[in-house]
Amino acid sequence: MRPRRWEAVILGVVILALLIWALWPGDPGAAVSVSVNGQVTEVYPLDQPTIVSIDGYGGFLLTLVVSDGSAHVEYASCPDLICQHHRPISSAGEQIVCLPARIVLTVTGKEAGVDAVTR
Amino acid sequence: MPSRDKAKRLTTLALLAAAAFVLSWVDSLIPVSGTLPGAKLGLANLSVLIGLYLLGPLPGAALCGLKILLQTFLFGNAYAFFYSLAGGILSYLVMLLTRKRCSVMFVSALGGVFHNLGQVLVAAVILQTAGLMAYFPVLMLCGIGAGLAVGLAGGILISRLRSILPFIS
Amino acid sequence: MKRIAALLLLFATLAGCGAQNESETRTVFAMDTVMTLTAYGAPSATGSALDAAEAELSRLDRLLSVTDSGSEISAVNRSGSAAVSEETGALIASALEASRLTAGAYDPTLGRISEAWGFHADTQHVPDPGLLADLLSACGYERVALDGASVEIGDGMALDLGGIAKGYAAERVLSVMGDAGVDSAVISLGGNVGTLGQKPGGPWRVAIEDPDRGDEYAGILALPGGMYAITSGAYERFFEEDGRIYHHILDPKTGFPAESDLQSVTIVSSDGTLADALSTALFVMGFDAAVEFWSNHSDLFQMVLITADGMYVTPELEIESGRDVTVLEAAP
Repeated sequence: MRPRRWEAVILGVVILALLIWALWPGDPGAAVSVSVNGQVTEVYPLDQPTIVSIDGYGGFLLTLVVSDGSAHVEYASCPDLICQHHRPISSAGEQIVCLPARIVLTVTGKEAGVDAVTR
Repeated sequence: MPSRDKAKRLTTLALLAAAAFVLSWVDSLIPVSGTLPGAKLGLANLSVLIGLYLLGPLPGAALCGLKILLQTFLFGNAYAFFYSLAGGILSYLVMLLTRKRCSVMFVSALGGVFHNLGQVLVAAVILQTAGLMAYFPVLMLCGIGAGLAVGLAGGILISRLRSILPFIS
Repeated sequence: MKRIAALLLLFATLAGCGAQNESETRTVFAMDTVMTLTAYGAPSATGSALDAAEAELSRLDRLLSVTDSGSEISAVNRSGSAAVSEETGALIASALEASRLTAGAYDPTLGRISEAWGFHADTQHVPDPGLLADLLSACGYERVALDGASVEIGDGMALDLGGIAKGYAAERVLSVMGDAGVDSAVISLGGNVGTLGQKPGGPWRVAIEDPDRGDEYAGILALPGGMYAITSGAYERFFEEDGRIYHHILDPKTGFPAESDLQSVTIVSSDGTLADALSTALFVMGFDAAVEFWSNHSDLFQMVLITADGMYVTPELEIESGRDVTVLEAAP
């Protein structure tokens, strides 16, 4: 019933790899990008305090607060409130996802090798 | 198979279904914050696991279907349906295919991993975002952890139940 | 020994980077958008250059605003004719020049029309077609009379310099930063990019946003200093009503959002104001007319066109992209 030796080895290696991946220190983020339904709608720099309301899919909205170099969801009108309880994000690559509203908040880093983006 | 055994097997299935009900409820009381909706500890998977080992693929699948319905409509919300569905089916298939070759704990851990994998895939499709990578390692670790815990309990229960339920092969 | 040499080399490289790449970045909110300004040079110079740039931006914000009732443009729109500053007069002249050049595909007189669509006030809705037709008949860049510092516009029209304001602002900001002693800088005024001087260690790398996927790049341009890269696309700002999508780039012929086969137009030019006007005009023209226009004016600008089928680039631009890139040829 207990894991066999090869199973334990596989699990150990995978857990270790996942731990390293999860705990790897991210680069400090520069901005938080807001995407609704797969489209990036706004990008807010992390060094500027902002409070903004975001309209999501299905009439849900959430309030994004940027302060002290991190972003978090202050209020969400969706039923599960998972995004509202998510800890603030500040490192490049970190995300807060609100599935009912189809909103993804992603912290972006300083773009490697790119000086500016035209859009 | 004598019809008495059939009745006993059916009764066992019913008991596991009742257990799935209670376990889903307990599951819903334990918040797993910071993860995607529908990502639960997966205690109800204990019923599915035991059903799969003791009663076979079809009763196991029935318990899995029940678990998905319970997670969605009784103790979750409708948004979680597709995530639970994808996670539940994927995880059950993987457990079905590996159950004869691996230990119960390992099978259960695989089930946990693929349950979460299915959810991330559905979320990526619905959100039209390939980049849910930030959630990936955390979800995989949760899946392994919960899977191992369920597998440990499941392994013990399966061997005890086998010795006290003589009609089960 | 080898290891020590390698370490020394590493330190030398790091020290070199540190000395060359002193840069300071500031984020400013002006003209209803987020702006990023980066200056390279000694810390004393970059700080004051960024201060000057910020001051210039808030000055331009007041000067060019259509919504601010104190701006010169508002005064013209209210009374139909007014005396304006030399700067505003010159800017209106550039706008009219761009309109003539593009045969009206860029038109700065659609102020009332974009007002009717609610694009300025964030109260977007589809206006009544009859009202739109009335407003449209009053528009037209030919009906603006500019005589040095006095402007007269036709009845029922309103000037809206929004189509060139950010391009012009980019020119002004870089000029102010240069005056303040910065040798090289890159700025993005809500996606309107300008470069000043040589970037330490290579060309400026300016990415073009992918119109389909906002978090990815369609390609990366390598630009020298003194260039502007300005993009127009229907994906930037739009709203949905009754299941139809309406974007913010209006066709001066119809008063409705332009039905273009282009997803985005990026203009690269040493003239930021012109680049801004052309990005709008060529989007309105559509693919075929845009290519023909470039054939006739390839001395003025380079461009990147993105359609549903692919990406088209004029030959003098240096671009790296994961996509298939078709190089355009000027018609003989």
